[in-house]
Amino acid sequence: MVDRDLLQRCGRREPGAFEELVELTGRQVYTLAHRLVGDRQEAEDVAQEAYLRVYRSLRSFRGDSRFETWLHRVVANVAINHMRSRARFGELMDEPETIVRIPGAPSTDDVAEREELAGVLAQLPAAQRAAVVLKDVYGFSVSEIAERLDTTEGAVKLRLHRGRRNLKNLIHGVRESEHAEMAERIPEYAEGTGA
Amino acid sequence: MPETEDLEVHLATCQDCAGELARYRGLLHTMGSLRYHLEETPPGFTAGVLALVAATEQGWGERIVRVANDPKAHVAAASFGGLLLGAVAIGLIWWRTARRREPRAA
Repeated sequence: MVDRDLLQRCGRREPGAFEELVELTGRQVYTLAHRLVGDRQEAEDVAQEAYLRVYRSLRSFRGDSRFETWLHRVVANVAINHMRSRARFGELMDEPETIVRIPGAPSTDDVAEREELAGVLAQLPAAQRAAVVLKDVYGFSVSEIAERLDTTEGAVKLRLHRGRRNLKNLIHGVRESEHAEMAERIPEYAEGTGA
Repeated sequence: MPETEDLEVHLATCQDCAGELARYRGLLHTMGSLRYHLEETPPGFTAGVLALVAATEQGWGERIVRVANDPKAHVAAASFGGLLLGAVAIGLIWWRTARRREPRAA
């Protein structure tokens, strides 16, 4: 938790204050960057760029929202711009709507492990991953995600739906029983019933 | 919701699909907990951030110092100042002339 005193000291450019802030929030920032871009080296670049923006605009942070929330927004913006510059969002149209579990992917028992889930998240197409990570992991609203991704709320909902379904397929595999059609509807049902 | 009625009936009677729903809900729950499961930063992460910030700060400082010490910038500033002074003088002369020409009120 970052306190107001530390933020004020950072704003006054007091020696050591920004270093303290980076030490305190570095893991949060790096983790979010990694979850969004899906690559460790790129995540480090994104995190550094995000801190540079934080440093420049810290004086304008008015404290209307929690600092951590503001920080997450900055990281999300930088990560999304980074992915745009790498044309990852452009690839969305060419990517398959449905991803089928690849042989050797984690079995059902292993997926309870968070590390495994984080690894599977990285396999999602960039725009679907951004929507799922921001909504399901970090609690951003659909409208906020739409604003950050520069798209409509409908498009975000579609990416969320596809991303969740792909995640389920990657982890649990695609059902090929007579109930496959019903199983296909489970993500939408679970989301609609507040899971 | 009527469109989910058939699915709800099916879920009530099919253990496989009910299990699938439970696993999916578990997955969403685990997703939410990822937020609190933080990764370690790479070695030298903080030092890298501070070096980047310092380089940017130094960059601005250097730019200001360079402009302040550049003879071309001095000439440009003197020219701009001269132009500004000339414009103010012309404006004043024009204003005073215009005032003299105004007919005096009776």
